Amino acid sequence: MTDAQTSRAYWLRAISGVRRRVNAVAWMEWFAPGVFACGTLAGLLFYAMRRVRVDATGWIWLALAFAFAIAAVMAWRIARGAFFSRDDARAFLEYQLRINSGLSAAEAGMAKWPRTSVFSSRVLRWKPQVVLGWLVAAVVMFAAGFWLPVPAQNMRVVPVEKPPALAQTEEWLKDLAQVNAVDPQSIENLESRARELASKPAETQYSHSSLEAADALREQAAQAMQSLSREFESAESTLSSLASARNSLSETNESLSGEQLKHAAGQLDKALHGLSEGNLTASQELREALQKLDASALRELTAEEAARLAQQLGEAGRAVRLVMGNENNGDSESMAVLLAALDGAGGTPMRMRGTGDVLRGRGDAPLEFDRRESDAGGGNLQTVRNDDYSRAALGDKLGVQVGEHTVDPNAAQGPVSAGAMAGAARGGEAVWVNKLTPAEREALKEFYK
Amino acid sequence: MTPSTPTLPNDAELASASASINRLVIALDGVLYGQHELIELVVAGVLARGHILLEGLPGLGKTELVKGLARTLGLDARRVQFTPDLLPGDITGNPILQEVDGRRAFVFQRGPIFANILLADEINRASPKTQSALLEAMQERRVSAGGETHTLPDPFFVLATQNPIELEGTYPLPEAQLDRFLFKIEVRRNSAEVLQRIVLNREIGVEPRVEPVLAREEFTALLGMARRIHMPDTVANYIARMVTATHPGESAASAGVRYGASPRAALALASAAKARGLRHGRGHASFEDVQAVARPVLAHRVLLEHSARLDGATPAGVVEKLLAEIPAQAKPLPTSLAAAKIK
Repeated sequence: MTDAQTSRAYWLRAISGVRRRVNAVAWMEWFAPGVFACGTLAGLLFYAMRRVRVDATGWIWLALAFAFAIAAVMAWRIARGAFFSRDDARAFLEYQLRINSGLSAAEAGMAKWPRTSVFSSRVLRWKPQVVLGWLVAAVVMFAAGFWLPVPAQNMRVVPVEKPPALAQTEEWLKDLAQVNAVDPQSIENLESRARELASKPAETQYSHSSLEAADALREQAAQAMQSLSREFESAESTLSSLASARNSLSETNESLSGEQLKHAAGQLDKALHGLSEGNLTASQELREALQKLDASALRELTAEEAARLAQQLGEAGRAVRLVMGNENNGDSESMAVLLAALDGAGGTPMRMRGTGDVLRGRGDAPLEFDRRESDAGGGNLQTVRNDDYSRAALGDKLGVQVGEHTVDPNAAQGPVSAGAMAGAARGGEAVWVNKLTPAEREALKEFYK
Repeated sequence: MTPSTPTLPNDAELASASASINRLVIALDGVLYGQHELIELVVAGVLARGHILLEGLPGLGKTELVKGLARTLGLDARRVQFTPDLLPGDITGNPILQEVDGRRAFVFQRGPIFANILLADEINRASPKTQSALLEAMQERRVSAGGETHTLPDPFFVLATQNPIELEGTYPLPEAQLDRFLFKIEVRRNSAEVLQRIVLNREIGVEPRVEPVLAREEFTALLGMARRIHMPDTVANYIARMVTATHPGESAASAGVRYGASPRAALALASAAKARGLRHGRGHASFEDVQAVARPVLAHRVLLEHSARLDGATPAGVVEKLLAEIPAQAKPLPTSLAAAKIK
């Protein structure tokens, strides 16, 4: 290869290099904002994905790749108007190297190719701040989509344990459902209330109102079971007594007097009344059986029938007590039974607002809103006095004075004159001076210097 | 019809031409001390077959330079001192009634314009009518008088001078006539060192001895060679963009410009750039050539708004800004790329 050919090849490579670098930077200047837009969009998508807890990572990456491709093509379409042609690159290179357009002349065949120059690859200086700024901003926006904390209400709710009172009530009702002597409908009524409390959001399960409601439900359930058990015992006792009397009278061939039968029927009627009302009631079958036992029916009732019915009622009562006995699993008596006994005995109520609760902590806070309060204190206005006017803020009322305007009705003196002509105006001069702005006057002075 | 492609001067011709021009420049350096740049421009202007307007204070050697140029080139030179009462016929010539072959007839008496170099001293003192008489001669290199057309000698140059400080009794050259001058060159005063050299080597009233350094034929060959210098497309594009950018709204530098340069300015730039290329022994013009001659070519062709002049703007300043604004390549660099400074 001759020297001329070597030079030609060298300069053609140099021209292509300049062209390539300029066009790459021109494209990058348009692509960088696109990268920023894509990064921001991806960051937003990832952040939104974390908030709504939808795993769409694969789709987002795919969309991001697509957006990058679109941005690259758009940047190319916009930037290509500024791309250097071969002539531009050659002109730039030969002008920078101050070689008197030797490359253009040589390419046209009008001169020899210039000698090679070590500076041919150093004619461009890249200032990367602009492009890098966009790229760094894009990375920051993208990373923010992963690093920005998601608000607490959007965090996954961890299942929490139900309040103890509610859990115990549910346990009771579940056990009661196994007892055939108890009406399932009455159990269902209590269960529906328990379900309603349990369906509240986890974060409000332990709110003050929820705990109060759970306590109230447990208390009602305990009282209902206690009442049911007592009525079962009462009916069992009456029927057992009736059966014993029948057995003892049968040995002497005597029969129960009408007075005794009437008393027993009254006792059973009272027990039936207790078993038919309240939050928990006896089963329909049992109530119907007891309902039939009026005085005449009792007369016909054999000792064996009475004993069998008494046994049935006694087992029901024990079953209910057994359910209640699950509460403590120990020697101590059920707290609910204790409460019921105390309330029934007219003792001092132990659940007093503001004095704490034997079941859980201190109970209600001493401060609470009272719906009966009529005076909200709205008429007791208070103001802040500010004697230091230097610290007064806008809107502060500094003072009010009550008084009257002192107007002198005789003070009017009629029209008065204002201003006077001191000398004749020099119109031409004034117009000349006033028509020019200071900058123009200055420029005019300079012009005529 | 396709114009024939001129033959490019070969290396030997270029070297010879460069040496000849160098001799000319050296000779003129001996006539006018300390004005090398001015001399280079005048030589380039003459090689480009252009008319030159020299503007400067009295006594700076403008007339001396022109006379020296005429002598070094061995050309016929005439000098006309322009005055307000100068008539067109005093320059172009007048028909005079003469007896020819026994009968009277008007015979055209040639004026001082019939020379290779016309030194029009203080051209702005002549009336517009007289100035306009130069128009046809400068552009078409011929004179029409009495229904006849008289061709001026070849080569023909007008080298005019004007004094910028005296305004009384002067007639500023109209734009059309200014446009016909290839260069308008400002002649600056000399430094103290140059003045000392002048004091030591010159006497008042004694003209410096100047020997011809180029024969007329040699000079004519140089003029022809200057036209055959190659103008690369990129440089032609640069000239076109430069001239376009002088117009209002075409560039940031043209703020305050009322009228930009004409297409004749582009031709002038190209011719002057070629002449400078020849001066430096190159067979082609370059960006550097264009930039070197842009100021004297464009400055007198750019007309500023009155407000811009009040703000201190000058046509020369506009051209300086243009040179800084217009890149050699047709498209600007991307904003994050800059041209590196090559030492």
